[in-house]
Formats: sequence, C-alpha cells, structure tokens
Amino acid sequence: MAEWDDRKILEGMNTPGNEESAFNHLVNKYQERLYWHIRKIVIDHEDADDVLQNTFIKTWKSLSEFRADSRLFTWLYRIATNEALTFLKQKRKRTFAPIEKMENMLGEQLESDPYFDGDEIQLKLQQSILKLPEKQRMVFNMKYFEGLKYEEMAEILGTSVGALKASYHHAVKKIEAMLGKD
Amino acid sequence: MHKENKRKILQDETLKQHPFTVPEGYFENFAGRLNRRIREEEEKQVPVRRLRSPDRFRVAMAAAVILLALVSYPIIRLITSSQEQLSDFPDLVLLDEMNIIEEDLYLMELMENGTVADDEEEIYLNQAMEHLALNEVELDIISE
Repeated sequence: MAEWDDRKILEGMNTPGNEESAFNHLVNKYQERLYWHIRKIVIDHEDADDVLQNTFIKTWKSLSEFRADSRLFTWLYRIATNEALTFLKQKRKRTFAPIEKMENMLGEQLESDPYFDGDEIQLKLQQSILKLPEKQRMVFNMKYFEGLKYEEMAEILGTSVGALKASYHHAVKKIEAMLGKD
Repeated sequence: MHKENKRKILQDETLKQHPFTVPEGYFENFAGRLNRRIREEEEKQVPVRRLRSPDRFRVAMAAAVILLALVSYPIIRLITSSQEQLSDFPDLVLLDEMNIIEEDLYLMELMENGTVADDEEEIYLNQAMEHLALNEVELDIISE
C-alpha cells in the first residue's frame, strides 16, 4: 500500500465513499509509531494492542471533529496518550493497587514477558523509568526513545516547552541515580 | 569518574533501541482485525428492542385511541357542519321552522318584487296574507 500524505488522507476521509480507504491508509501510516508510544506506557503487548485499537476507533468516530490547526500526527498522538493513561487508571481500579505498586508489578512482569527482548541493563532502565511519575515517564520516553522535539511534545501534552525541558532534566537525573545504585 | 559512568549509560545509543517485541505478523494483520472490530461495534449500536408485555398493551391502547379519534372525527364534523350551514342562512332556518311550502315562497317573492299587476296585486296580497296566516306564518318576518 503506497503511503498517502496527511492532506490526501484528510481529503479522503471527508469524501463520501472514500472514508474507509483513507482510514486504512491512516492506520497503515501511523500504527507502528503509535503502538510503540502506547507500549512504553502500558508495557504489556496485549494491553498495548487493546489501547491501539481503541485509539483508532476513536479516531474513526471523531475525524470529522479534527481541526486542521494541529497536525494529524500530533492529534493522533494525543488521543493515543489519553487512551493509554485512561487504560492504566482503569487497570489500577480493577486491581485495587496504588500507583507505585502497579508500576512495580509492571516492572517485575518484564522479566518473564515473552515480548521483552532486552538485556540486563535494558531491563533495569525500563524498571527505573516505571518508577518515574506518570507524566515525567511520558516526557522521558518521548524525548529519549522517540526523539520528539520539545515543541511537538508541548503540542501533544499541552505543556510549555520550558516545563518539558525541566521535566526531562529531572527524569534523567533520577534514572541515572537509580542505575548508579546497582 | 563514577558520575561520568552514570551519565554515559544513558548516552549509550544501543539503549535507545527499545527492547520490546511484537508477535510475528502483528502489524500486517492489525488493520484487518481493527476493521472487523469497528464493524462489530457499529452493528451493536442499533439494538432491536422487543416490546415486553406491559409495553405491548400500552402501545395497543394508544393505537386504539388514535383509531377511534380518526373514525369519529369525520362524523362529528359532519354533524357540526350541517348546523353551521343552517346558521349561515338564517332565512332558510326560519323558513324551515315555519314549514312554508313552495307556493308560499312564490307569493312572498311576488309581494317583495311587485311583479304582479296593481289591480290583481291586492287580490293576491289578500289571498297570500290569508294563506300565510292560516299556515301560522309570522307576518312581521315577511314584512321584514
């Protein structure tokens, strides 16, 4: 499937009879990027799959509400982020676990996760990231792993560039301290 | 030295490659699974609701009332309209009440229009008046 640009995707979504084809191009274009973003938040593959589907279903239902004042990608990212955080909140409620305990549980599950292929230091890094506050964890992942610019992150998270820089700086310090303990 | 080692850990580019994997063919099959789920959800959105017994009774009653109204309305309208028609023509009502026959109407018209010859008029008039009086017609109404 040849990749469409965002303008062509949006035109297709607004043309009767072409919505499904345009939507399939949108899924094809963004599924991997959104999946890895979600996966880093929820950790488990099955959970990430659920959240990714929810993200695209929400996109399908609300694409007519998309205002072209933001990029399609940042809009999708924002939906994916909200869906992932909502999922974690619901998971906490189902397990009656406090935030810290659940994040610890996720870190411990990584060791036996069939879809975790990292070495010892990568495991320790992921477990350290899980100990960060939720939003700081997202900022770190988006900057460190996904290489997003602060301006893009500001648009997605609705936070100022300055606050994001400070958040990332603190995250790096904490992780370095945790990794340095061992 | 120890601090520098700590910093170096995060600067290691290999660490930036995420350590997660996916099942084989996951991304290739994702769109198909997603479209199936969207179709299933759209089918679920319009459930067909079967009426329970109490609901069926209420619906049947409502339908009966509507049917009764539809049937009775023309009949009611017919009755009221005939009365309206009579009231629009007060002369006819009076005439109807007076039970005047055709000959009497003719005589009344003659008296009004004056189409009868003068010498005969008086005869006709007297005969008309007598006839009308015998038939108990109010002479005041006629003169009006």
